Amino acid sequence: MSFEIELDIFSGRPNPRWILNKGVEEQFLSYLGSLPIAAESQVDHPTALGYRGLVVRSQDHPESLRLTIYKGIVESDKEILIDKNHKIEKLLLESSEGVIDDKLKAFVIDEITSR
Amino acid sequence: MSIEIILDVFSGRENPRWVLSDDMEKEFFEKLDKIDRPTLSKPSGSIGTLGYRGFKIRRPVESPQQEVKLFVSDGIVDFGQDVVNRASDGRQLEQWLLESGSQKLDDSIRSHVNEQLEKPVKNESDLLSQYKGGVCPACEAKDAPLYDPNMWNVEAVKLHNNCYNYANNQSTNTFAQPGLAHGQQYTEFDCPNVQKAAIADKLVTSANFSDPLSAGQGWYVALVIWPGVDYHWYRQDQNGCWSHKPGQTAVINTDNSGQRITDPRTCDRGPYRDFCTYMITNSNVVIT
Repeated sequence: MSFEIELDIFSGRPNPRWILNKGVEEQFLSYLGSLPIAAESQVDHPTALGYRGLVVRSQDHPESLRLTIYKGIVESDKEILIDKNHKIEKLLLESSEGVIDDKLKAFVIDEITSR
Repeated sequence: MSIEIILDVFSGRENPRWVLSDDMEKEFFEKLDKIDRPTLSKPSGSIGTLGYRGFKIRRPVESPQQEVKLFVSDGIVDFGQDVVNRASDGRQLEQWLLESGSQKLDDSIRSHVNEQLEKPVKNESDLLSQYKGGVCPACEAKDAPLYDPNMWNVEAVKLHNNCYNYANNQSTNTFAQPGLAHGQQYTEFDCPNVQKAAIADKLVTSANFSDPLSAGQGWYVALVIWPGVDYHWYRQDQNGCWSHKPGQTAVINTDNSGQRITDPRTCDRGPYRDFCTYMITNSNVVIT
């Protein structure tokens, strides 16, 4: 399976996107499989301008898998999971390999971990 | 032409209607002016129930006086799509409207409506607290677009049009970039660079958004920058408020704090901390 990651953050310019490399993919799926279900009350909706989350799409089956991940909440059309330590978001951000510069990465990490 | 009142109450038969005299019309507008608390609520009667639903107040658009099209119910005055509704603490206006048509109504109808009007208005404190912000200034641009997010928030349009598309009111489906249509796309994310690119697209810099713009002269937009990272645009709509489309997300008319945008210079812009300038665009501007 192959996944495309999109950092949903910009307004004028297109959002950065990259393909998840195989090594990280296994780790991502392993983390995902271990997450508990979240309560609706735990879901935090993003503000309009700035970091709005990460979108994960399956390249092989784009209609069947689409996750949005925002501040530790992982949402698909079937369920909502909670990633208390933001492991998945940080893993995916680190996987961007030059697509996102360090300053922007630091900004997003800051946003992810603030409340 | 006189104002017509329609009591929206029946299901099978036609609703009762009557016309206000000149004196009563004056009194009506005086009472309406006193209802000045903004609300996001819609009157519950507008959804449709059996029995009393509210009063429709009409004066046709072809009238030499101003067109009037209001709906009053639940203590709320619904002005229609582009103007914020207003709420009062009681139902005095509805009671007055009922009285104004009492000659036209039989006892059973009056009694039914009176009974409904004795019920207290709904508590809307939650809704009010979600929609904070000052009063939007009057829009001075004759060509300013209507605030109609629905046409932009259709998935096929939403994903392929950005803030610049929206500010210029053009859904090119190209995620338009300032200057690109004229071979002069911006090269840096700073105010002078992106502003220059917009000028290449024939937008015009403006010191304010209060000078009148007559028909054909366009409407006001505003450019802000996330330094070194990105740009964003707002536009002023016909209702005087500002709205925007953050990237591929939905069109909204609130800022990052959930407040109505009366001026992009002072609203919460998140990381887009640099306010560059107001500009004027029009329907002849070409973007891509």
